[in-house]
Amino acid sequence: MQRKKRLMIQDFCRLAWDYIAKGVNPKLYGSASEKLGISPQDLQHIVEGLVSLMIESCKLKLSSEKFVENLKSLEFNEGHIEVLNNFYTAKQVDINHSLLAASIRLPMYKDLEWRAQVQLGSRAFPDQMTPKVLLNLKLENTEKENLILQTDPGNLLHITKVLENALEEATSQHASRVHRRFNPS
Amino acid sequence: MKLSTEISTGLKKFTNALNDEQFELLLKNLSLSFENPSASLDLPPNVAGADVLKKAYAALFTLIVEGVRWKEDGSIIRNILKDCKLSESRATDILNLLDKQRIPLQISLKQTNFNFPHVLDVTWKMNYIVKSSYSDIDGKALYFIDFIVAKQNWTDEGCKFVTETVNIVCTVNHLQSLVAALRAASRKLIAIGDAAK
Repeated sequence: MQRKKRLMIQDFCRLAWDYIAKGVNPKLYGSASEKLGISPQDLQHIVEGLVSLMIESCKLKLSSEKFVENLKSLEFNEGHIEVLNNFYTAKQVDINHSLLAASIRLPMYKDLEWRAQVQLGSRAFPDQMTPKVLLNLKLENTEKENLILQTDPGNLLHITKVLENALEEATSQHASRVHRRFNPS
Repeated sequence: MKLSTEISTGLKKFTNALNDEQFELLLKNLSLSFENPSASLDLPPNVAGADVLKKAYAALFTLIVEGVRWKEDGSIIRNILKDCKLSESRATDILNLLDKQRIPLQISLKQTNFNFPHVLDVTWKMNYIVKSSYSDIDGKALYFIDFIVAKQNWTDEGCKFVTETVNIVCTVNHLQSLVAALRAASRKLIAIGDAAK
């Protein structure tokens, strides 16, 4: 019985993460509620409650210990607390990232995949040896979540150098001074 | 490089039939066409031998494009022109035009295909988040990165390149990950280049 309840809490957590990552999906509640043996409305309320708990905990940057303490004060039992705490610690970084992405909708960088290749021929120019680099920019908060670009080796070295310089600026004296000015502690 | 009968005939029959003035006009038009692919043959009104000029233009245009496509050197083109009974001086003028247009034509032929937007440059700005409704980014830097890309734009007049910007936003951690990926790609390309030497 206890094991069954733990599995149910895990299912609620999975649905809560789906809500945070992709938004509300009423169809999902219809099918999941049948499996869990509760009404779709109840399930939605539970998931929304969980989402709120996770988001507020992330916003307050609660440590795992503090999170557990809060759950105890809300009279959750040990087994449920363990499942919820596991979920919180596993998803804390991802939830923070989703909150950042949703704060002001900007096309947020997620990842970059690259591929070095050589164009050997085409109908218009059959015999060639043109090196190219394909870049797949993975983004969030934008219509196109995968943006495929290409470049040549010369420009690749150039953009790498420019962005390395950009990164160095984050630790420059000027940036550190501004940081200290607004964060005196 | 194989030339069709129509092109060989055009070179033999029509190019030889042109007088010096018509030949000069033909070369000028060819040069303009290579520099601006959307330009068509522009002949003065009532020019003598317009039909011959058009056929000679088509034959020479094809010869030069095919010569560049198949990377034929000057001596092969000169032999073709010699077989078509063109004078030495006209052959030299045609070869000079081919040499002048070889690189731009190669670039144009390479690009006559589907291409993803090509990254040419990147600009960036770093913003410091003083305060926000979401506290996790408060007191942190946020980068706004603009990739400047050349994008193919196909119109009725052919393919033109337009520059656009692709905007992305990232945190310092994300920028570190982006730079690491770009460095890995750069290192791999440098290693390939070194190995090929």
